Amino acid sequence: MAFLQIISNNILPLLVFVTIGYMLDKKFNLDVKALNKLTFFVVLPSLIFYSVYSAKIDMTMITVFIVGCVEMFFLALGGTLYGKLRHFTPGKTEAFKNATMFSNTGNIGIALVALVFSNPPYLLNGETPYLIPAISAATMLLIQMNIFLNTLGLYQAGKGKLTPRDALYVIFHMPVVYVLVSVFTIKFLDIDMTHWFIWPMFQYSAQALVAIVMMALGMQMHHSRFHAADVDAWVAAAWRLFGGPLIVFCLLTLWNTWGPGFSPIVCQVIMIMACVPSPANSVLYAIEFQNYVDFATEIVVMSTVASVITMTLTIYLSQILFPVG
Amino acid sequence: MACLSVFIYASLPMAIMFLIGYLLDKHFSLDVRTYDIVTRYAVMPLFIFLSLYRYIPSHVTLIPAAFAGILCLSGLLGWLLQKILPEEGTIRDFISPFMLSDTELTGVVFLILVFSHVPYFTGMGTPKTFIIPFVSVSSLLLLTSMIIHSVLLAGRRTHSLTEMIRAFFSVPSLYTAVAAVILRSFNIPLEHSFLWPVLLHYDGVFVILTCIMTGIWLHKSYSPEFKWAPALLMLVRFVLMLGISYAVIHFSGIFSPAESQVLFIAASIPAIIALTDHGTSTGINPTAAFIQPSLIIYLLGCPLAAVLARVLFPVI
Repeated sequence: MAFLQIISNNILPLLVFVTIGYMLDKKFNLDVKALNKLTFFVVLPSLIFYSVYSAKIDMTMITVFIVGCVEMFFLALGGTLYGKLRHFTPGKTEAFKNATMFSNTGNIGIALVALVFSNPPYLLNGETPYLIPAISAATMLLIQMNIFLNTLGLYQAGKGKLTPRDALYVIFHMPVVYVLVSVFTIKFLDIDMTHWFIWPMFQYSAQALVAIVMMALGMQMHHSRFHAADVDAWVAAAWRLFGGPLIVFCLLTLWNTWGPGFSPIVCQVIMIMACVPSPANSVLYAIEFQNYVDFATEIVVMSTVASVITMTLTIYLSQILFPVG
Repeated sequence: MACLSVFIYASLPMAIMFLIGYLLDKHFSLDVRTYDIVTRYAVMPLFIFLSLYRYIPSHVTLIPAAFAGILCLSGLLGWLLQKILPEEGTIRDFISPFMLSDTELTGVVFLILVFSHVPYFTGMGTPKTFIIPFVSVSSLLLLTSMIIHSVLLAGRRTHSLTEMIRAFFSVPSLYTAVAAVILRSFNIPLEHSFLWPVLLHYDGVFVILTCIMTGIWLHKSYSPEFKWAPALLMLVRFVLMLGISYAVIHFSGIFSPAESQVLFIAASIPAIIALTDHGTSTGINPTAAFIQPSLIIYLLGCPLAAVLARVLFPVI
């Protein structure tokens, strides 16, 4: 039942947004880049600022951050090897990596964790004792994803078409990098911005991201040549949905055996966050740099649809592999 | 102090968003048509649906009727002024500056920001729940000004009553408004359906998209040259609208203080983008001349109207 709620509250709404974008583009033939600019320069920086500022960062979870980075590294390695095996162009390899290294933790991951740990079997006498540690761990992974998706992801998307130097030039002309520096500085200085006159605009802007990004994805889908039989896209989706949980399972087993280890709850959270589908941002970056846009779109759509089944499986497996008490 | 609060919490954030839109268009020359279509065909209808579904004002038909009356009366006064005054330069139309209003676009954002901060919101509950009734009334006014604009445009282009009636029924938001009222009246719940999370996101999209789009339009149509005739005209409009709206609200005597405040403030909101859009579509007035004075009145005059509304229609 809880899982049906995730589908109803998180997956289906995304598909509704995509449909709205698709239908609008079909009728009016719109310009996706117009929404892209709004996303990159207004909405995404606002979301990053708002989510990092609002998050209660627990520094004891820094090892969770590191696990996220290591997982990302192995996913990237797998993407690079597959690209070499299939003789991809550098651009296609980067598009593959972007769609597999990163995931939709912001929209789906956090909501999934919140829902799983506030429902049976994690309820004790009507209380949710595991929710706070679960959200703490999930927040750390969300911040890690935000940082790398909007810097490394952007760089990789650009590298596919530009020289590394030019790609770096583009990144440093995007506000995201400066927003990350600013928000961590503000948090470090403990400045309370919630009563500032501009704070509501950050909130509204952050709230707008999902709808704008998914509508843009829908518009792009109308423009794209979508091949449901694209083997490489299916492999990317599979690597994203199965490779992520498999890699973190190995990492967690090693850490629990030879290191101080994580609690079962944190282990389950890390596995759940690893099974989330590809981020729609990877499509927007592909559009921005005109780097295998159709391919990126296919992977996002395929992984999002397939995740309905794979996420259920991963949640179930995580409970068996890392049982609580 | 109250006026300064409204300026800081409502006008200033909006001005910043306009500026961001302005700069984005300056650097990237954006396709404003895309924003316009997404706003009018998806964002606005869903925003209006959500607002009315959450709360139906007790005077759901009288509020739009009163606002339409205020706008039409103002348009009539504009027409009379046009007959009385000599033709100044290239301004040939006094009706659209008087009759149109940016309530059809960012006016609702202004109202949301006004009512979610001091001196209106004083801490009982959360701002988001407090402003629900105000947003609902504002949505009705948004719909009214959109319909008025649509009908006026059709009338100007075709001079056909049939086309004007067709224009009335061609506004997508009208249908979502009616749907919301029907669903709420029959207590058909949406809160547990997959559509509810979709609807909840459109609050933020509406605020951001309308403000950014305004900034983009400002860049595309801005002229640095300041002309006194359009400035005086918009100032006269501002003062007249306050008078007309006060008279309508006071002599009708049917609206609650909250509804009266929203109506009064909305009536003061000038037309910037509505006028730009109208001018572009009809080619009648050089709209660039109105932008500067309208913007000044919007950002500086409307906070005054907000404070005046509290004084004239106090919520006990």
